[in-house]
Amino acid sequence: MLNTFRMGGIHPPQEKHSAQIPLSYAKVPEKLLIPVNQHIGQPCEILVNKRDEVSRGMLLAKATGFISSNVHAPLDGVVEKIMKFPQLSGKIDQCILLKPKQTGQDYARIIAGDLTAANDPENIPAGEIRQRIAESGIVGMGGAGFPTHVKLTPPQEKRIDALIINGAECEPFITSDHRVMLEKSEEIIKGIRLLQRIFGQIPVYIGIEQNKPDASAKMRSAAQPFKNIFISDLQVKYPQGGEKQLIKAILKREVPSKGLPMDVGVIVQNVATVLAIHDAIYFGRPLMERVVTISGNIVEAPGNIVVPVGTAVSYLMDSFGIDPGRVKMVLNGGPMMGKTIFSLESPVTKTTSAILFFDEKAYVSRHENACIRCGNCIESCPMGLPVAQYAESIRSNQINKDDFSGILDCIECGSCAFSCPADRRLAHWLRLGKSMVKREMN
Amino acid sequence: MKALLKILEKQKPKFEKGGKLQRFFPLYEATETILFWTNDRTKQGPHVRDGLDLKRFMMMVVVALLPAILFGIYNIGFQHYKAIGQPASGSEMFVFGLIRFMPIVLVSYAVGGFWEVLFSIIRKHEVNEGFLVTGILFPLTLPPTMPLWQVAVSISFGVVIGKEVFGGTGMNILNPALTARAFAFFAYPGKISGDKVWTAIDLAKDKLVDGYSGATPLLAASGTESGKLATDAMAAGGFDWMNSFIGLIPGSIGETSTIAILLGALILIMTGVGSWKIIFSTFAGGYVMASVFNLLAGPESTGMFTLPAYYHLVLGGFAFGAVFMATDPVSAAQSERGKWIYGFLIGVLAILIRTVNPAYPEGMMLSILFMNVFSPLIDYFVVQGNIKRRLSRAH
Repeated sequence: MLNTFRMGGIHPPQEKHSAQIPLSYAKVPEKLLIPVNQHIGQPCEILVNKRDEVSRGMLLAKATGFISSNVHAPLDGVVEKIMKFPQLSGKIDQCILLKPKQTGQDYARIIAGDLTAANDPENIPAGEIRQRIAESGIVGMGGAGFPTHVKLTPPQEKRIDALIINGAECEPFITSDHRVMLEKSEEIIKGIRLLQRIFGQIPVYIGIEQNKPDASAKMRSAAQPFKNIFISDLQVKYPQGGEKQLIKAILKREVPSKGLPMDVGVIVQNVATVLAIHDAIYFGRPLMERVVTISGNIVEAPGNIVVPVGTAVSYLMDSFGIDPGRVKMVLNGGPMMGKTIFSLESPVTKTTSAILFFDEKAYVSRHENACIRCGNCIESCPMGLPVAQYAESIRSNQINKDDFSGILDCIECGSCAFSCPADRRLAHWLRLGKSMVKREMN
Repeated sequence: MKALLKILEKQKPKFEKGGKLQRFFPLYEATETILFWTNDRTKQGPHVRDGLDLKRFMMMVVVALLPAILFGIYNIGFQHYKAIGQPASGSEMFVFGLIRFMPIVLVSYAVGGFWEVLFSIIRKHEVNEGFLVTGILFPLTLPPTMPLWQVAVSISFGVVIGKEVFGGTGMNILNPALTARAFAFFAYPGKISGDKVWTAIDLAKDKLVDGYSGATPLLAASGTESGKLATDAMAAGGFDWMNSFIGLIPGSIGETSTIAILLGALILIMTGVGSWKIIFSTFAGGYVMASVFNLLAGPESTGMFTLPAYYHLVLGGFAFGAVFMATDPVSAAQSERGKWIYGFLIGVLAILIRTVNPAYPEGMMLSILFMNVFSPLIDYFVVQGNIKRRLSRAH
């Protein structure tokens, strides 16, 4: 019997077309637009000026507080401009426009250039591991972008007794974590060993959905020598990659309402984040690139490409031969939680797991009909919220923080809107409700 | 299809804002969406949607009704020829049934559809597919000889008072088809209750074979004298469990055949349209309550007390109500635990009304309407209970 979470969940079509395509490496583009803030938390302070020369790995923007994260230059080059530009998330924010020197070179060669092993990574003390993670600007690469060093520093009173590595990748289309697990399994296990040094030898569970048997087998053989690293095979079900669902699926622990995983003694890290931790400690290399899945119904040759942070979507379109005339919709992330993007010049950030391209045949928008009270949204909600009742209260503006604080548990996975036969925009009503309740609380 | 699309596209400006027929836009919109998909893209996530949308949802109910409809049509003819004692082939029976059945359905759709469209034009709503279900559910709960004007008045009441005055689809408290049925029952009791339920006799009074009463098995059972077994009373009328299950018995058009209804239930459950929780718990509730009455049965109690539980489930409108009426999502409970409670209480109440109230052996309709009214309250308490339980776990 495979593990899974019990409450709610849905089965959207998987569409993992790029699962069997190995990682490829981009050619260095002519310009990089590096967002200054790629994390959740306090904004960064920009350290460079126009026309400054920078080199690969140099600090561009510095964290201004504990919950904040550094940004480094992915390539050698010259700062051309510092400007505001729309990000993939839709927010307009500060970006550094960098003109790289190595334009046209293979990015794989540039990575190979800095793979010089740091001295004695096996014996770095735990405190220093944490500090180096902070310096390297590592954030949660599953999508949230929460600074990793903060997550790895739980308050004294919280005892952490298990670590979960998230390789569920439940969103349709996205295969970047799948490829990372297949091709970098040794590195991920080494990264996990580093985390184990921070928390003492606590057990580590790597959650992998059953639709990636090759990745599961590869990770299992890599984890073989270590007796407290386990592979947990999971049923295929969305949103299994949600932190709370994953904890429930693997450890059968339930994170309390409005609580965090550390309240039940667990810390969850994404596989790509663990790989970044490995690179930071073993090679002294800050987080400068990531794997992005390029797919969608008009992409003839989908793939998983390693790109430096700051690469524009339009550049990726050119390298995958996507005809801009046919593109009607571009998604940042998967079709469940991803957002349509505002500009094709927006850059890839540390949290971009996929860019998907669609023409007019995909994802028909249907008319929003009257609620027939079928309860599908309630049945599919992984947090067990009475979605339809919340949505009605939000529509009629009758919500208050006392009776509706449960709405803050919504993880915005969109299962409710997926399963609604009347095509009501439930996820949106709940998102609105969350911000209404939050505003009332402040 | 392309030509049709062209015609529709050509007519569109007339119905749009500023056009000559802009008041009738809902009518145009309904025609377009029934025939074609819309051409818009999703703008906000989640972009994937389940294939089961409202249109398919409603069409699936109609598909699930098909076995009951076809069987009902055949049964009309079967009962007619049995009553007049004349042998007939299967196709003759079917054609006879079709001639009796189609006018009722057409009147139900036409009159109900008229109100639906009228209200959508006044309110500037779109016409909702939900009506396709109401319009066919209602005739199936009627005896085949219901006068057409009574059908028209009843469906008007069901659609207008049962649904539209509350604000249209999704806002109604009661199941509109059952509201129409309840209206017909209380307004024209002579046509729909008692031993007149099967009035094939009316059609051929002079030709009746001797001893044909036309009573339904449920009526036969409820007429059992004190101290006697209900099954014996049924057997005297020529009914046993098997023919009640298969459904070649007098009764309302779509309600007689439990096996055809169960086939529909299978379709509903497989496609995820009907809640299996409600269907299952309704049958469970009925079974439990009937078993309780069996235990209570004594020499003084009415004969109905002795009717075995498994008989109750195949008689009258129990199965039809459990599968097609109780599962109407709009009027049913919404929460997971609420669905179990809702269904179970329907089953309990239906048997309670049947057994304890000798004047009215068919309790299914009233018990569902009754629970319709209570379903929001059930949901409220389920949610409150969830909140309490979660709070207690947090400490």
